[in-house]
Amino acid sequence: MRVLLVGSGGREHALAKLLLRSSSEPKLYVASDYTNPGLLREAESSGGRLYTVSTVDPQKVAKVAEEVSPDLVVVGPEEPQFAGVVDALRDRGYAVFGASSRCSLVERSKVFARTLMWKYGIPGRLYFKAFRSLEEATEFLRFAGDVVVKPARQAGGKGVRVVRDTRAYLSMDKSEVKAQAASRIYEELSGYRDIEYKVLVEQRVEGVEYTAQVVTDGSYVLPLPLVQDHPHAFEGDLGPETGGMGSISGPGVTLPFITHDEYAATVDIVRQVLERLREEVGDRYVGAFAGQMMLTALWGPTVIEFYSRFGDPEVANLLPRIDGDFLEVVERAVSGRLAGAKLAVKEEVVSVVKAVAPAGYPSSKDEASGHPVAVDEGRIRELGCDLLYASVVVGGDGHLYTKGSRAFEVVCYADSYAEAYRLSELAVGYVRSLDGWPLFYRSDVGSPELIEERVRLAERVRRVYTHRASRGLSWRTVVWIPGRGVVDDPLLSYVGWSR
Amino acid sequence: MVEELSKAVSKGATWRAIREVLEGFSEVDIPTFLAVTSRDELIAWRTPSGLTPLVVGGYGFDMLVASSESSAIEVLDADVRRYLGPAEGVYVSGSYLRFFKAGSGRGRGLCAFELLYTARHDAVVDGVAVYEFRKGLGRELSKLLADEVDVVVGVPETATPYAIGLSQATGKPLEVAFIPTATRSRSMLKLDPLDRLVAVHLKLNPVRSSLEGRRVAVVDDSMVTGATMKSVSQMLRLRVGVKEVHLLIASPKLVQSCPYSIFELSQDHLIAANLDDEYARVYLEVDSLAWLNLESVERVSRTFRCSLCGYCFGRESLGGDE
Repeated sequence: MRVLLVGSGGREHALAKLLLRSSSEPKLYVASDYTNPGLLREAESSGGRLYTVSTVDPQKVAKVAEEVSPDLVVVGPEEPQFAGVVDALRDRGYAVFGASSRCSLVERSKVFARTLMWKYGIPGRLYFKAFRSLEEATEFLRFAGDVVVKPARQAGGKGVRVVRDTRAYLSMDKSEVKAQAASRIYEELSGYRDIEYKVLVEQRVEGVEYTAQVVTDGSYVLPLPLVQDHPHAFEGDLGPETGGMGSISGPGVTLPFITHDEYAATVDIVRQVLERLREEVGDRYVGAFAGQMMLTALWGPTVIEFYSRFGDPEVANLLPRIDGDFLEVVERAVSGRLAGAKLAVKEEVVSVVKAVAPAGYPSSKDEASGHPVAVDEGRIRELGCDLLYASVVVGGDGHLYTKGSRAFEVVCYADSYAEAYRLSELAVGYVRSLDGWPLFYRSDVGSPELIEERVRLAERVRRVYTHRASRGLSWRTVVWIPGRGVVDDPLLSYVGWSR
Repeated sequence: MVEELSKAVSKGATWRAIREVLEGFSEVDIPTFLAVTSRDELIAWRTPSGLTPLVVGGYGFDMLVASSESSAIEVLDADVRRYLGPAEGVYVSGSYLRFFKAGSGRGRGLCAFELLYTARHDAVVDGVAVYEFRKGLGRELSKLLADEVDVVVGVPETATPYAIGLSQATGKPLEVAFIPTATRSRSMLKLDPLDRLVAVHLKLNPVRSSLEGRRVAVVDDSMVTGATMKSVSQMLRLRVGVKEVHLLIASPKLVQSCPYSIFELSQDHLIAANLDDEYARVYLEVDSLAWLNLESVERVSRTFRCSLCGYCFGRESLGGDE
């Protein structure tokens, strides 16, 4: 069996490992933007090969497919989906696992995703307002209160500005920050021609974030264990949002701070969204889908955004946590027979994944690129951990060089967080810089202290949302502007109007 | 009035002539009047409306202090000597002092807000110990508390005596909920809504440990726009993580703006005049919302033998004689 995997990073390396575990011993071919040494090795050791090609160019990827003539194509990242790579391959008759461009709209356009939720009254939705022009956005933000300013298009988490504005004595300055965020987003998105709206202003919520990943064949939804990502660059959840600096999963299908009821409610939200999405775009969704969720005081499980693919590094947590033939699951999804798929979760196993990135990531790719690094994969293996290659290439001198994003991910597991954490801390120690340029990772990911903190935060949030629901307040937010009347818009602030 | 008075003074008026001038204005709704003349006289007069108080104090035989609040006299290290009633005044010159009455004594009653909010807790207004009056109203609040609570808090600090009264009446412990930052300021007295909210928010840094997971009775002395309480309930829920918030307002509903310009608030800014109880509860994000009823204020006012203007509550007068 021949499998073509499209994509270049750590997520694809994890997918490659999952697919190659299959008893059907597939040959793995990879279409990748650069020669990821991990993907190269997986491909060659299976008897396949790696093609370097622009993964967002449907023609070029299709050409690779013609050459490989795969039985199955797996498209990892979202950008090739947006660009129509999946569509081009399906048109040519290939069996593709990955959202079509129409289905991937649920990730590409945050306005579309939110509108879908409001239109069908799906729980976990946040109040939002979207703007086409910067002028409109700036004018609205003058009156806005406690909000998040986001790019209206998926832009890798970049540009998101969470502006907590709950203390009036800081409001003037916060207002300034909001306006600046909107203008920066507007600039950053000016290059994208595929969306109408540029700036999104959304209700700010607080709580515990987690990701709910599923696989679907267009009707059946197979939920995977929850994962918690750590999007901030630095320890203590400080620093800018990144693609994700590490993640944890287990035990069981939930996390230590998410109850089974909350898990069920989350899966239900995801199911509803997928069902409505199919009606809305008139296309069968085949592939991975994820809800980036937050347990909030408003709703309990609340949607922050959607991924039309597996999360990175979220998917890496599946490596030690699932049993069964992943390739078969993927095949069944593609052929519409997912209902019979078997994928057992290792209940007792918990996983800790950590990304290592060069300083400069995520804000300055240039600074973060071109640094020689080394990794002692043998020692990492000795610990029972796995190593994923992400944004690195082999240079002419045989050394590995950073490409500006997360360079490696270590995947560790044990039957307790204390042990998985200990292993992950040892494992990241085998990644080192060869030119003195600093590498960073988050030591707090998976630590018992941080998990306990999340448990406490979740309890606080749970107290509020269960209670609000029981009192009929649920997600309702009423805003009354004295002298103006009641406005049904939680984005507006009393302070804004008073200014 | 000032014009008339200076005319009289320049003609060499005696205290009697001055009183006559004041009497001519006794039907006008003006607050307490205070004047210092070019002849080094002091004239202080509580107009017959009686809306605002006037207290006279002194040190030994050298100095007289007239103030709208007894606390000011004590802070200046003087002693309170006399609470002037409606229409009463005092005339002082270098060599003469005379208490007098100008106009009729039938007034509107003391502004209820003087006792409810404006005066300091340590003040005595018209012989009424403000602190005790407030605790008395706090005890009345216990009748409105339908739900079981774990702790009582007063927010902001002006609500403390009410909270103490409620705590004593219910046997539930009183806790400190918030610590103010920077200077003490009277948020309700600020005219600009943003200034007001800034002042409120500066008072609201929560003491988490005393409240997390508890059912909290929050006592406020009054509620005008509700902006303070909205901030408080959000802070208690989202930052602190309390279980329930029961809001008790130690004043009756404010439904009309004050015609005597004591509070510059227009009716469309009053939460009680604009939102019904259920809507206000949802807006404020509280589990229950109760306002002190007029009967409770009547009862407590009678106990303290005072008569209050309750115009803003929709009642001409409260307390006083049966």
